[in-house]
Amino acid sequence: MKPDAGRFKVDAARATLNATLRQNLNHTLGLIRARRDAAFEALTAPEELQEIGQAIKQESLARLPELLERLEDRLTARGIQVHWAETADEANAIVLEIARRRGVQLVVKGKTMVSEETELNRFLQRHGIEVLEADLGEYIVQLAQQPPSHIVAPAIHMNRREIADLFHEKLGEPYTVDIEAMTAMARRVLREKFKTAGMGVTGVNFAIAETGTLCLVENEGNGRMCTTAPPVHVAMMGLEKVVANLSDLPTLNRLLTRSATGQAISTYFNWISSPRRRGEKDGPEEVHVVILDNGRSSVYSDGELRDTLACLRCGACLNICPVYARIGGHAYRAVYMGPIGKILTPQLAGLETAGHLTGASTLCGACAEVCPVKIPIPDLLLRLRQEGSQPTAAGRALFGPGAGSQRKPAEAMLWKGWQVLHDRPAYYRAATALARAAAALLPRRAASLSPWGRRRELPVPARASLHALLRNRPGA
Amino acid sequence: MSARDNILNRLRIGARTAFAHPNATTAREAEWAAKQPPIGDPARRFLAEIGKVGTSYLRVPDWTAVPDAVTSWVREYGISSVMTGTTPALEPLREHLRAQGVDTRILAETAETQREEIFNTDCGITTARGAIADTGSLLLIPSAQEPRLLSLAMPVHIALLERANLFPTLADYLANNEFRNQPPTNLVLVSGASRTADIELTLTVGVHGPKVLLVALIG
Ligand code: SF4
Repeated sequence: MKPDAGRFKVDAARATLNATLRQNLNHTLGLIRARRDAAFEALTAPEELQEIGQAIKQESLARLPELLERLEDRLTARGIQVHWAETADEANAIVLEIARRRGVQLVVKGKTMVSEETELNRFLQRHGIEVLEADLGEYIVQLAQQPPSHIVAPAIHMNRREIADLFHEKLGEPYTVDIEAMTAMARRVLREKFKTAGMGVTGVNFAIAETGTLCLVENEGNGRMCTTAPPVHVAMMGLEKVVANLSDLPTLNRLLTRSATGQAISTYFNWISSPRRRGEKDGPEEVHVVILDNGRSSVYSDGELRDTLACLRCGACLNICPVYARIGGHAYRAVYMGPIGKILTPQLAGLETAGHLTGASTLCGACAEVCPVKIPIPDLLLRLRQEGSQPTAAGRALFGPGAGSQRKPAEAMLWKGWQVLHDRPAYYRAATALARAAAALLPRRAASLSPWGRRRELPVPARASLHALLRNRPGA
Repeated sequence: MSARDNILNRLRIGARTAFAHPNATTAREAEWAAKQPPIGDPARRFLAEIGKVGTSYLRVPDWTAVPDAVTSWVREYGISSVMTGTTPALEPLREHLRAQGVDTRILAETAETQREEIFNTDCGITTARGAIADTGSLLLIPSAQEPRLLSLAMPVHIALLERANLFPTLADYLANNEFRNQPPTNLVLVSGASRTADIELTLTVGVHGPKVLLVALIG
């Protein structure tokens, strides 16, 4: 799955006309926003908590290299094996190597966006290893052979009837739209898999450098199963997931679950600090952590864009985004969608590939307000738009690869013309007079300008310009 | 150079050139926490919180009353088999249950050798290291005596919690340094039965973990 400017326009337009999708999203996003708001309103001074969360992440990011080394040190001391991957391919190769060594045939997976980023499932399956998603939402989209459409609720775009059809068709179960019955079906299927899987793969929500602890936040218990039942556990994390102190956990977790689902805490908050120790009767014999860069270190090198790495992946910015609510998650053709996706994807994949996503925003600012760690998403969008459209000849590529790739020659010429007109009063007056005279001849819809213009009526220029009115006012 | 060195080198250069935001957060967290509505009696708050997510509980005066409480649940939920770890403190409970004709198993070998038994038992019984009052979370630290699957694999989980081990908040538990000094293999905060909202955001209980969570509060 690769972002693509041309297809984005088509997919987004199609999605806005899809009534079922619109209905599904309206229903679920409305609910999830209400729950999030209620959870924050129950607190005294919630904004202060957001500020503290922001400060914690900023501090951890400022000390990132040191904290990663400490994390590695602590984890290794207790027998957790640490691997570093510069690219998605490297990360996948590491997981495959472990699986091969252990003779793994079946992998069960908890929800992990990093593994979506590396496309681990497809990679392992190509090498003959079966991979089964264990999170219910992920399981549903895996059965439907679709990518997740939301970073927290992967099947948010589907309603119960669509899922009922899917289960009936793929699992051969009797047709039912009863949600409890469908959940029970998934439980039955996955139970058997947990018993026999040779490896569990999960993500990491917080990695605590101070103690060398991997923290997983979840409600279903699939994460606990993946980290307990199979003999090998592999945790995949983006390098920005490291947090300095144990004492940072209460605040960060408070913010994460409230923002993601409106819960004060998730059902399970699972902390892992070592593989099975001597005498213990369950838990994995081997625990591995794969620390993934995949473009993050280059994001890190920019003091402003670095804020992108503070993200907790709570999904709150998706839930509140007017664009996401209308086009859904799939139109972006990116692992990370919605507001966070619009700033993260172009930085990871490059502006040439994904620069167009920075334009898919009204800059309404709702995402920045709702973000638990106050990432200034609209500012970063503007910054990336600027990077994308700056003249490459100027040679001031702040962001590096992809800078200037979104520059449109026609647009650049238009602006140049604008500059000339506004520099010279005579030209300006002539041009406005011409525009007024020609206005009647122009089509009312600015069809050719942009998709945005297609849906809007052109304003009618006043019959007399402000200059003229002033000149002719009585007593002038 | 290794991937590790490449990554760390790039980050070190970045750390020097980019802005840092050093900030003493711990003091601010404490200040913020002090502004929150008071937690009051931790036991009462804990029970109120677990009630919100549908967890049932029984209060018993001391350990001698635990067997009867558990037996009443065994009847109420139609439990025919239970499993505990090897915890000596639970021996009276095991004896009591056996005397009542309940199939009482012990996870004494390993999860591998007892796999079928583990996944085919109705109810797991464990002690809890403690609980967090303000979020209604059990604090479980599984061990060689009480393996992790006992609180995960069975449809019903009964947790035995001493009132003295309640902490008002997670920060209060962390402040006692027990975890910091000796991080256990696994610690898990459990705040209810396993649940999902992945279909139409409709809450459904009992996905991969227990469908029923029961807490005996002792003392
Ligand atoms: S950018 Fe903020 S709101 Fe969006 S997912 Fe990340 S943490 Fe949540």
